[in-house]
Amino acid sequence: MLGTGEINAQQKHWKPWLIPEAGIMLGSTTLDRDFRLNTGVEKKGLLLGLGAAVDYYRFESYPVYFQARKTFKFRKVNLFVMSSWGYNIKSGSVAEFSWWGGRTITKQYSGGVYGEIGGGNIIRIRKKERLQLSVSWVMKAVEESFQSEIWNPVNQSPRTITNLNRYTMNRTALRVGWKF
Amino acid sequence: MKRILSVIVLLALCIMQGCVKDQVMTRTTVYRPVYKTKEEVRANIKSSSPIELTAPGKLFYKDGYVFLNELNKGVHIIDVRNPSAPANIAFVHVPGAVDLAVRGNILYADMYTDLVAIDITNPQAVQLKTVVPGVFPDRVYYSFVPDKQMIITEWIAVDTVLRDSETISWGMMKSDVVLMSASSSSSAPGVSNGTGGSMARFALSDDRMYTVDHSTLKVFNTTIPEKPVYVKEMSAGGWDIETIFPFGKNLFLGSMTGMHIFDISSKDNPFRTGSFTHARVCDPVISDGKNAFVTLRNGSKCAGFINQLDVVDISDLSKPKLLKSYPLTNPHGLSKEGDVLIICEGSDGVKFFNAADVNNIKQLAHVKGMKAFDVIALGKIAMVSAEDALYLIDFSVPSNPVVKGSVSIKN
Repeated sequence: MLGTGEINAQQKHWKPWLIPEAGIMLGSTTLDRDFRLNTGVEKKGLLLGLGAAVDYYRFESYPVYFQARKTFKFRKVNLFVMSSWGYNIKSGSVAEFSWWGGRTITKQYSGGVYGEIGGGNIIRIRKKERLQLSVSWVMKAVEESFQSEIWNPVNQSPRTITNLNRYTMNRTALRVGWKF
Repeated sequence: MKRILSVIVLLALCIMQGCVKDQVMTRTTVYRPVYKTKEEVRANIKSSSPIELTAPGKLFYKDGYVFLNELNKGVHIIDVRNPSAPANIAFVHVPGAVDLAVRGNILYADMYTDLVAIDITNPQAVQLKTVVPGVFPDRVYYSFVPDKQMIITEWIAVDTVLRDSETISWGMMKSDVVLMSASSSSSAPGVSNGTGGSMARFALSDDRMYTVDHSTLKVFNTTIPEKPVYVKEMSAGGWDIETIFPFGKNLFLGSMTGMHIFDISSKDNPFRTGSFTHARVCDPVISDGKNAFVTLRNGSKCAGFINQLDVVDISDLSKPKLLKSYPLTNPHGLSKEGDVLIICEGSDGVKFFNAADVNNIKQLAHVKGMKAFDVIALGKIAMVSAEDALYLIDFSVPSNPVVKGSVSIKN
């Protein structure tokens, strides 16, 4: 049954769709995974919807986003492009022990922008089910703040400062999705 | 068709891989150096009317005057002949000064990597006599390479943004600065040496000055006080050397991991006679000839988890052995006058002990309300360097010490 599927470009009414996805995230730091659930409505090959994900890359976080997909046919192959934009939810704190002075440093986290641009191939499985293979650029941002001590050369004593790290993680995502 | 699609996907992957680098923008505070030429710095060695104490460091006492280091800026001269009314009388500008010693009318101080000898006969008009260049090369900043031709005269705190770096430059953090500097006792005929605190890194003994840094012990010939001559350097017996204390014909070196004893019977050829090791902590050391008193302190710079006084039997200098330990709060500098042992306890003030029986040292008094770092006790007056003032404490009655006077520090 596997093969290229027909896309109903003449569809006249908005119809609901649901795409669960699992992906591998390839970044400059590590390789990890994400799981997403996208849902919305479609009409004439345009899919508009919302999504939520669990993204494990470096910092486990929970992106929520708006998503748009456009399907089209190129030389009898069903393809799609997509873009997702939203907010990467990350909160809480992590206590890390620092050997230096036996201190515990508490790092506070907050979220940031989440974005994606990509596309892929649609493979017909059954009448109303499609396999979607995609490749996309995915970005998520996380802010990390914590206090640390630096050596103050002026009065020869430690000084407590607040540090802020703003991570912008750009990855390539390879995903497989199942469209209902 | 599938081949074309595969090629497109691969191309897309390759193109995108170029822009999938993780980035981090770090907003933090770093200290940046301000440079001057050596000529400019030397030209600035002069005295002026007294200035406010803001960041005091080591202290030294001689003939009724306390010489108190203003970190990296110079030396305050404070007249303490009347303990009830100490007077800040002059300030000697020595850029980069951290350690000091006084012999006769000559003030020795480090000026970054150089040793300077300054005539302080007239504190209002001091004269630079000698510069011994480059004798403290270890005054380095980890992860930071200073300009060899220039001298760092100031550090400025700058809020900064670092991009694309996962790590902050730890060069300017806790472990950065290794500095050098100690104290004194006896003297050559006609020229007397002053007395240093237990946190000192310059020590005067007879007509020699000994200095310690991270791992070396240096000898200077000060027979002609205004013309100190570098003699030699040797291993200090270990790493992380912090303090030096002269007593009789011995030097007691405090390191983060122990105490080392050097025999200086042969002035220019100190040799290590023994060591006493302990857990990694900060540890100023003093001695009364029979015993050594070592305070062990934890803290961010010192690591470790111990706060205590160790009394070490040094009757056999080659085999110092621990007699007894006493728990303390946060011990810093210490001094002993007769049977009275005085210990600075950081933010817990100053404690006075009866140390007549070292196996049964008893606390006599506790002066609170000051963050005390170092102390020199002479006669019945304890000169305490604290965060907010230089205090003069009369301990004629050790069980009832009284603050007679102070010179405040502007924080």
